[in-house]
Amino acid sequence: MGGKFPLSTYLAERVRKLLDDKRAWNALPEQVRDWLSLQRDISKVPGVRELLVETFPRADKHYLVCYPFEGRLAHQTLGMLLTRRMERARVRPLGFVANEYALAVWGLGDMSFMIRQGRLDLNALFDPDMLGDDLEAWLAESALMKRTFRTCAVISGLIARRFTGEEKSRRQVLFSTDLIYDVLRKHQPDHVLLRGARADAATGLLDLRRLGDMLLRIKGRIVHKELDKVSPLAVPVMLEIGRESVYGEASDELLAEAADELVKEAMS
Amino acid sequence: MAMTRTAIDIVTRSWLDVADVSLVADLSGALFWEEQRLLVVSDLHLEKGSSFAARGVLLPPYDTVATLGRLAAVIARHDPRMVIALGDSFHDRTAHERLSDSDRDALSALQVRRDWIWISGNHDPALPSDLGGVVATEVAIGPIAFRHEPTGAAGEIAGHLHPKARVSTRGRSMERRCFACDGERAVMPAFGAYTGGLSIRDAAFAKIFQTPGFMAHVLGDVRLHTIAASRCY
Repeated sequence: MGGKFPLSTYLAERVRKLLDDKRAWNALPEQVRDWLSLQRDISKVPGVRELLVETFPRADKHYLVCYPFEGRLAHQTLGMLLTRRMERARVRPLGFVANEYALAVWGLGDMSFMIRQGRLDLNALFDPDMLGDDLEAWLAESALMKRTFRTCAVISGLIARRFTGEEKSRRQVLFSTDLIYDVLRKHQPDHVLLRGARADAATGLLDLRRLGDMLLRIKGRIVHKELDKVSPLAVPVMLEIGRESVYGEASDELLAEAADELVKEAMS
Repeated sequence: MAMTRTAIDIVTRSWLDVADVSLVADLSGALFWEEQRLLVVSDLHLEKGSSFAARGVLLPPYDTVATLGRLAAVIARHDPRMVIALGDSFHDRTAHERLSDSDRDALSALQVRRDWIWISGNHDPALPSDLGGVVATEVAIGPIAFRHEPTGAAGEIAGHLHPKARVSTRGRSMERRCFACDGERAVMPAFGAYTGGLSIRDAAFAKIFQTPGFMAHVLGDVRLHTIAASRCY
């Protein structure tokens, strides 16, 4: 799946067109042709302007896989925002993984059933308004913003970078930028370094513009396929599960889990 | 004392036992001794921002207002009769002179109708008398001794070391401030907005607790989590 540079918009457009044009498939290797034909029979090959969303059960979890072809960064951002919304819709999402073409989200709730029942509305789920409050709420607490802020703080000379091997002080002479970040966010939210971190994250790490363009492009053009098993097109992104670390925020749950181990140990 | 704990208490509050005294470990990093209505906070490091700024490290100057704001919130929550600031309340010897008028007023407001004890620490060994409250090197109440630097003695509640714990589960990890406690003695987390931390796996803690069987009471977002120190790093 290549390196860390996301699939360019130009290439993404080409891939979408290629998939949509059955005649162009003749130029593809036989295995790829077979793979796409199988996808067409089992589910659907995504069209140029639409967003294909598949839902299916696997093992004891339920999966939602979509194919925006917008590159890993935009997909990761989408995954972060989608899982927040799915949390609210009580789909009980557990995690997600992204590659250059697709995004897979899994959870405990039966998404196919919920969509059938009208309890989960895909158009609402993928509405561009996720780039408003949901984005802000996530960013404010996100480790990603703190990391970006640290880079800005080092560049500005606010703090010095510590190199491996340099002697560590007994109690922090150098400064944790997370602490500065928290204080600044509360007492001077328009601080130039916060704005810088925000701008850096938006372009370099979140690919917000691209995600926004995509959400507008597919608005009202979501095609949902309810499947009883994983589709051929979903296989590559499903294979990333476990290989790629799940992109999520550590939280109290993580601490609670560690504390539970202790309880279990005591009870056994 | 354990008799007064209800099931609800156990879920929503975390308790720290030190020499048979049960104290409420507050999510903010403060300790509250209910019978004495005593609130303890450690290592406020007020004016740390301006202290660094004077040396050319231009940290944003909001740390004192942030720390006092959090202190006001925890005082409002418990309405203590007495407050002990367990040393290193000010980041350097002249830090108290740099308090802004509004911060000074906020501090005075917190001291109204309650006893206030400043324990001196290595950062603030000589506090002036005009800060309100009394200054002491250590205080003993019942079986508990409150002092800044931990000695490892039984019944001691100290600060100074700024304990923090890193916990990792399934490839994700997070680091938080924590109380360190083995039932006989405790080290409190630093309360100040700009205070970093020292891992509880550092040799400094091994010296105080001697046995590795002490616990980290980790400050989460919504509650405290009790995790064996040996499980953290």
